[in-house]
Amino acid sequence: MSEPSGIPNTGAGRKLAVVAVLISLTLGLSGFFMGLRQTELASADSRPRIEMVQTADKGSPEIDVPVAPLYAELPSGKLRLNKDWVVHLATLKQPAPEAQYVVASLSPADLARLRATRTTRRQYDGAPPVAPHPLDQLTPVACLECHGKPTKIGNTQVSQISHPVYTNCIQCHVSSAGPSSTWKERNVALSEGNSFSGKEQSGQGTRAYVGAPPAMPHTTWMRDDCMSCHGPGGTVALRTSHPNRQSCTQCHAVNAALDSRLASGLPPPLPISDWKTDSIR
Amino acid sequence: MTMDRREFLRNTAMAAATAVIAQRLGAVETLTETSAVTKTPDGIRWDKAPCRFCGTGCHVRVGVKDGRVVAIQGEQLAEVNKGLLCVKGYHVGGILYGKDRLTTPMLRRNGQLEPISWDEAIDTIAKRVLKDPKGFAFYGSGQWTIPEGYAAQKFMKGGLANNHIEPNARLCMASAVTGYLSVYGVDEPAGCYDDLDAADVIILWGNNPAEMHPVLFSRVIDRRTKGQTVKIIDIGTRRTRSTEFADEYLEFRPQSDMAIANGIAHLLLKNDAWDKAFVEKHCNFRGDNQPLDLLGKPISFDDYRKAVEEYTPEFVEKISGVPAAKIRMLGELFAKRDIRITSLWCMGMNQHTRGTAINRLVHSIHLLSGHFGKPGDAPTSLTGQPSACGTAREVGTMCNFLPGGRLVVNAGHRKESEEIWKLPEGRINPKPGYHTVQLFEKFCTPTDKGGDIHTVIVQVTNPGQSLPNLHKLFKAKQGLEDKFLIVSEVYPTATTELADLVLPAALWVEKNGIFGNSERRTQQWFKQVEPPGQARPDAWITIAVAHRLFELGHPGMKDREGNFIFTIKDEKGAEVPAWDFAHYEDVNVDKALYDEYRLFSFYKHKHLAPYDVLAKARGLRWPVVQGADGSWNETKFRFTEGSDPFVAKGKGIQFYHSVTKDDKALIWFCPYEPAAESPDGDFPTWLCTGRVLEHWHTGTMTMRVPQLRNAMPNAYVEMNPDDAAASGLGNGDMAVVESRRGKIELPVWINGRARPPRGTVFVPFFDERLLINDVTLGEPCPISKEPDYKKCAVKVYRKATANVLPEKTIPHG
Repeated sequence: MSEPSGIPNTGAGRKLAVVAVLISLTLGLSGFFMGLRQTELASADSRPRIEMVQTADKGSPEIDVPVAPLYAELPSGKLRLNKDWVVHLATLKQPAPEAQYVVASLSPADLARLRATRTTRRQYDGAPPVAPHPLDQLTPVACLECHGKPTKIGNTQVSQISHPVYTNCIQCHVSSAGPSSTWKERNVALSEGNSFSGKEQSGQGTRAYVGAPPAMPHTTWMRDDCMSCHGPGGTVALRTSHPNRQSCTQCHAVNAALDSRLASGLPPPLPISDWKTDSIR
Repeated sequence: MTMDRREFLRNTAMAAATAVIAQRLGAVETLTETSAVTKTPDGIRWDKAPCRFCGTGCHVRVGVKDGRVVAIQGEQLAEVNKGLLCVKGYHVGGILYGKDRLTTPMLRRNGQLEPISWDEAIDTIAKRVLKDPKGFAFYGSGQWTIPEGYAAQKFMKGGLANNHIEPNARLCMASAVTGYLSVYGVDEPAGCYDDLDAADVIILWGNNPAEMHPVLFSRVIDRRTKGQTVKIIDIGTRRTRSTEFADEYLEFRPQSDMAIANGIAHLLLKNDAWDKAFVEKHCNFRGDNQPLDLLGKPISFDDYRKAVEEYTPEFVEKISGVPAAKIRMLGELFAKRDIRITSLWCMGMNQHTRGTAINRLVHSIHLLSGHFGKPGDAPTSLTGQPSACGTAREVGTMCNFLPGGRLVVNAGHRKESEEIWKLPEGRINPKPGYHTVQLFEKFCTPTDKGGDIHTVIVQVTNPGQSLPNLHKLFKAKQGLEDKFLIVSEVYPTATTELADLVLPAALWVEKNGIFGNSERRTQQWFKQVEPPGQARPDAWITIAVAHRLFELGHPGMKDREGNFIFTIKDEKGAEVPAWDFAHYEDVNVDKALYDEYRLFSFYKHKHLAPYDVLAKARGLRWPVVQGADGSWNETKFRFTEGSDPFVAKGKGIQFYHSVTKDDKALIWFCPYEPAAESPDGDFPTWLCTGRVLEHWHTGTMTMRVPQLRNAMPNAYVEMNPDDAAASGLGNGDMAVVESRRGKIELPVWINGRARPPRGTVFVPFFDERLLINDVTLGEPCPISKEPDYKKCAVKVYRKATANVLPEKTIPHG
């Protein structure tokens, strides 16, 4: 990042100052919306944006420049709205959840595209997907802001967390775009140079008869929220036609045979004393 | 904990049962007692294996289809990770399939590596050794499987009567070893990972488990999600991801951790808050000899009290920069009897010019305060390699050890080893060999100037990148015509660059193996896929070289009955020519080597389970002792009655390998001493090196996995924003990091993966294009001989020309 430069008090300078105001407003607003818990680290983060604003302030006394808030001040409550701060959150209209929901009707091409995207984001079916965006490299607190509930950003449907919340997201999910925008070498194609060929996504589940609820073609290991993929915010092909029903496994059975650690063929119910894997102790 | 396990099993059993009722699709093999193998209808065969990377020792399930690994799952039946992995573990399958895998032996002729046959390669090595066996050295690592390390150990010390065998673990946890030995008289942690579930307070001593041991760290922080309280105290030199989860962060000046530990001891004594009953019953006091040695000299309690007297909180603040109030906070914590405290450390304390001393001090404050031996009360060192404990420490593949905690200098130990190996008496050389730094110094010094190591074989490690001060300890080999470097590897590395002979090695599940993790857990796996091309297991390479020497008439390759030292027999007692690769898999060579090695494990009460028992388990923690009912029982808490079968009834806690032979451990005093090199006018900045989450060690494996490489494509210098501004550096600018030993150019990352305080920078060592070990000092601890990679003085300045990474690139993927 470059040193903050002084802005001369001219017409051009004024334009620059306006740009500075816009920048600081944008920063302020986005900071407000993200509303993240940040540690005192942020206060140690003296990036030039603040200095730039102050320089502009000195150079153009007639402009009342709001200072972008620090994330660190949000939890402490020190943050006050300045007079230019306009919040439209409460007045924003959201369509009713039912109205938002459209049962996916996908062409084979759509399906192929979705599957291809899905494949590029994981080493094999079942691997933790990589993030197609840079990740904050210190804390995982921001992840759930977008991935915790159905979210759409622009035209992009954000993928939802399908497993219970573990504390440290970035233990398993890393960026496929490098740690930050300053990195030179990025987006190495996932197939280039490494011939690992991962287990493919399972196909459709089987049905006992026409109209029967399909069985799950995949395991549910570590995934307990069916709606993350199959619900209104789902990013992949199969969306449920009945999102109001809560107990998926009432009708859709898990196929035990797909579970790599289970031995089928054992007569149910299985007495614990017969459980063969713990015979050492 | 047993309840958790029972519950877990019940739940899985229930799930299985309901699922089976629900529907039956496809036939599945039944899990049997002897197998962890299942098959799923998608044609995938699943089997267990420990992860290839760090010392945590997670178990994975490896999915294999058409002879190739296609998927990985966390093994839910493994107590270590309970189904969870980190990003490296999930992608571990990819390490087998980088496009530049080495597949054929290659000999350097006229500067070029040219393919040769295995027979030629083995013959070349054997003849090199035969010419002058004394000048031959074997360099391995904590990534050797136990049988591989054992074969190398027997070949060198039992066969060649040559003690120049070292693991890279010397660079990694030798100080932890000398710490345990000098405090308890026997190596390795008394506690285990179960402590992490029970501790009220976890103290991280220069440790960043959120990146380095993520599964263990999650085990701690996920307790909070379950509503439990666990206080994390991070004592560190830079803010890391672990700090983000810590309740307290104590930032200390490099090297001053010793003052902090002494400050805690000072407060315990001053406030009369030490555990008198525990100390009276279980501890003696100890101080250093001059010159420093492993066991020091006895001191009285009064001597001890006087020694720690000066370490007042204010004095500690002056040395360490940690506010006196925070030191008092630590003192008060240790004074509490009703809480459980677990200390964790890894390279921060081990790669330290006073590594042995700081290890002793942390053990000592736990002993002094009685925070020892109860679940959650433990001083526990973590290891960075999958079998640093199993192979380097237990097999004793170091220049001064024999297997099972024995010493080469001890006549009785040599005799016992010769007995188990059926060698003629007096075969084993009583003089310790060269430790790692010496070994490479001797190898890189011209023969006529005293460089008496002429040939080194390297297996499963990458010294050309991981040694400190590379110009002196590795690159100086270049141009020394009579020196010969043999490297058994899976990919081209910084080490193969200078190799005269390259051997393609089998990797991970391409061979049978056994690892030993940080909590004394021995874990076995079976071969699951074929290695590529002509790649072969390292144990075979060692046995084949030994046999070629046997053929050439080296007397050491015969035992006292005249048989080849690696005589391996099948179940019917018939000899199997395992040195002939065509017959290597006729018998389980791992099992033969391991069951022989196991005989060594009883002396220090590190009883290992038999191979067949291990094969059924997801790892077992030694000592593993057979109960009256025939079951094999592992040990969670060593030296603690009720858990450790070797503690006498009524003792409570018994240090039965005590240095002082009275069942007592030693509380040490060691003074704070400054670092070997501190910043000064010319080189004003501290340099710390280490790892990042996505890459493991020198990156030879993880840099070839696209998902990991994309997440962290190259090394960088992590800078404090004020330092960067003062040097006119911005994110992505190329900076020069220069020490008295060398310099490299790196992109700047301001407040990068962690936040270094002013006057310090951090550089990870995974990137072979940006070798930070050209710069490091590597001054070793005088007792453990482990070099310090965490502290040296550098200057960081802006590079004048354009921002470009070096031309040389690692092939992607």
